[in-house]
Amino acid sequence: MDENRHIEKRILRLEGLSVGYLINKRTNREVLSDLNVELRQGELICMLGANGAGKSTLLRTISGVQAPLAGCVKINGRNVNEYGRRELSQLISLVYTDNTAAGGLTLTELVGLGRQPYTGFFGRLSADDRRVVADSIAAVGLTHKADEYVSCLSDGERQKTMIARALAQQTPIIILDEPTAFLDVASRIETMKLLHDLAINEGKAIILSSHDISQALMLASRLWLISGDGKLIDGVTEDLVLDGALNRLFPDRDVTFDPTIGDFFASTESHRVVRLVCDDQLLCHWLTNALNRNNIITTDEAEITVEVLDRNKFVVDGKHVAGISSLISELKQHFSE
Amino acid sequence: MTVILTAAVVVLLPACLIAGSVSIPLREVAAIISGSTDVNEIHRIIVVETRLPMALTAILAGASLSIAGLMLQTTFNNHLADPSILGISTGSSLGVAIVMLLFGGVIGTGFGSYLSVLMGAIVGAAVVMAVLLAFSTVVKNSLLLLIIGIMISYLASSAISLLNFFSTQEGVHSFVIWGLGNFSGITLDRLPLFALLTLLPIFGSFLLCKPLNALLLGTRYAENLGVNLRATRNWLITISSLLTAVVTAFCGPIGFIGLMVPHMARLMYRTSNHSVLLPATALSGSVIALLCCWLSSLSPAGTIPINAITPIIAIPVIVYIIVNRKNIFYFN
Repeated sequence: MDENRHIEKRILRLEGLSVGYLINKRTNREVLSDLNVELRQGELICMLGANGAGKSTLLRTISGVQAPLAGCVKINGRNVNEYGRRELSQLISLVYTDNTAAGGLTLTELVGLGRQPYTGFFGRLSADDRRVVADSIAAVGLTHKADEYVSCLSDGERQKTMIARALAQQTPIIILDEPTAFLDVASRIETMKLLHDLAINEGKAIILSSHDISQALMLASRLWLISGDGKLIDGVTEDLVLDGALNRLFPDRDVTFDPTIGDFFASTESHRVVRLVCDDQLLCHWLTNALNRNNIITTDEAEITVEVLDRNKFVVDGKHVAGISSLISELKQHFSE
Repeated sequence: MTVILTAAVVVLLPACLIAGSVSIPLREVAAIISGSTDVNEIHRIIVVETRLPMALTAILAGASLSIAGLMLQTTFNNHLADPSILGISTGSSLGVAIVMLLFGGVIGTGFGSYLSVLMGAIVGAAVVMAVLLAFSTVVKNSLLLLIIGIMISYLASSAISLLNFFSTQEGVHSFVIWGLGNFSGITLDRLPLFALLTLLPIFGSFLLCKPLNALLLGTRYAENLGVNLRATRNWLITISSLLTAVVTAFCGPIGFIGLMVPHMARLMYRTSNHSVLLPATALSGSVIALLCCWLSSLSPAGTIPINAITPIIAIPVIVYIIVNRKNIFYFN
């Protein structure tokens, strides 16, 4: 298949990489150690981990901004540090959530800055450069705003503009540090969809860090899970979900990953247990949600049985109840006895 | 916009030649400039030896200070940065004070003292700039950095006061006169030196357009675009402190032009793109300095110090910008 063509080529490799900070000449603080993973063209990798787990540090090290403590990052088989500034800027483009002072540039001018690795001393754009810029703006769907000032754009549009700038840089690898952090739900989904399409259609190799678990599970071809103990777990998204690996993200926190829903939830432990009998999956899901919120958990074996007749009719131990709110009060009363 | 600014130069330049304690009519000025011999000799000397160098000095000094201001605003990512606020002018003044008061080199006597004053100004400016840059790697917040600049400025001022206190009366007098700022300190024969020392760094600033534009995105993005941060920063420091120091040495510490003019240029040309903004800033700076020069020569009692005029023009503009920043296109 045409789509699989890109997946063949391995572009980035971490070999025995340890990242962290030098505190002084003798001591350093190792954040992640002995990482051995690789990235192929056409892959979208989501890096998930708790705050302070070392996501940003790893991204900085991969992009060559920060020196590794041990091991190396190789792009096309060559150590990142051996590339010249200009060569590297043609291999990796970065997207941050930094505030910029570029409000007085038009969207086209800002995206045009992405051509700097290719332009001459004065940064003048050729006809070819301008075409690349226009294509990049079209790829993020902002052609209608091409001549507007960056200061007039919404947060979501700004983030897409920065992605367009990265596209104009025409690099095989794009690295994004929490690209959806300050966006509303719609912009978050659009941005992730855009990145997913870029990986699939253009063969870009994309690494992004995120806290948005559900989006990551939907769109990432692989996950890099940064566990609390300085390990990186790499695997196909679905494998990691089914293996329960996601629970290693927050080992000492009071949250649990629910593989049926694909997100984290507050751990519920309760002696208040009911058995739910229900044919409608959707209704069952939201009833469980309501019960959990009231500190009641559902299992297959329980003394109390809730039988669901329809959306508003329930039977609790032979007694008929109407509506979810009445069901909850009935159960609460039951448990308090 | 360029047309309007050029027109302003065309109007203000002759205005500067006409106005002064002795008023010389436009027709006679034109005759003098065109090299006609049929003119009042005293008037000829006033125009050619005093007013023309003064106007040309204003043009060069205005462009220099404004470009220094623009480069500092982009380097520090702060719209309130300028040579006087960040203490670079004061650093220059301290350098001059050390030369003039400590070593007794009184300004205007001989080429040697001229050169030593100039060196003092350059070293003073460069030291302050280097200290600021050292702080900028530790203090990331640009507002705090600005406050550090103001503190450095106070420190240099107090050093200047101490030097004044222990110095001779005539030394203090010449330093105070210099400190008021004026464009008339440069004679016709020294104008080429001043022109060379300002035009060279101005030319240098034009070569930095590309990295300056990248720096609008912040240092991390600039680095990713292949900009050599260390080298670029060093060049930006060198050029902006050179521009500030040269103007300060020749004309005294002139405030507010470097702060106001880049904003004026951004508002008039509606862009932050340095390829447009740098030349626009240079031209606007020349216009504003010429305007100050003309205003300073309007009093029959003599030339008004430039530093008495620049705040009157600049502060309303700066306050307007601060108050209206939510509606101004280039703020975020």
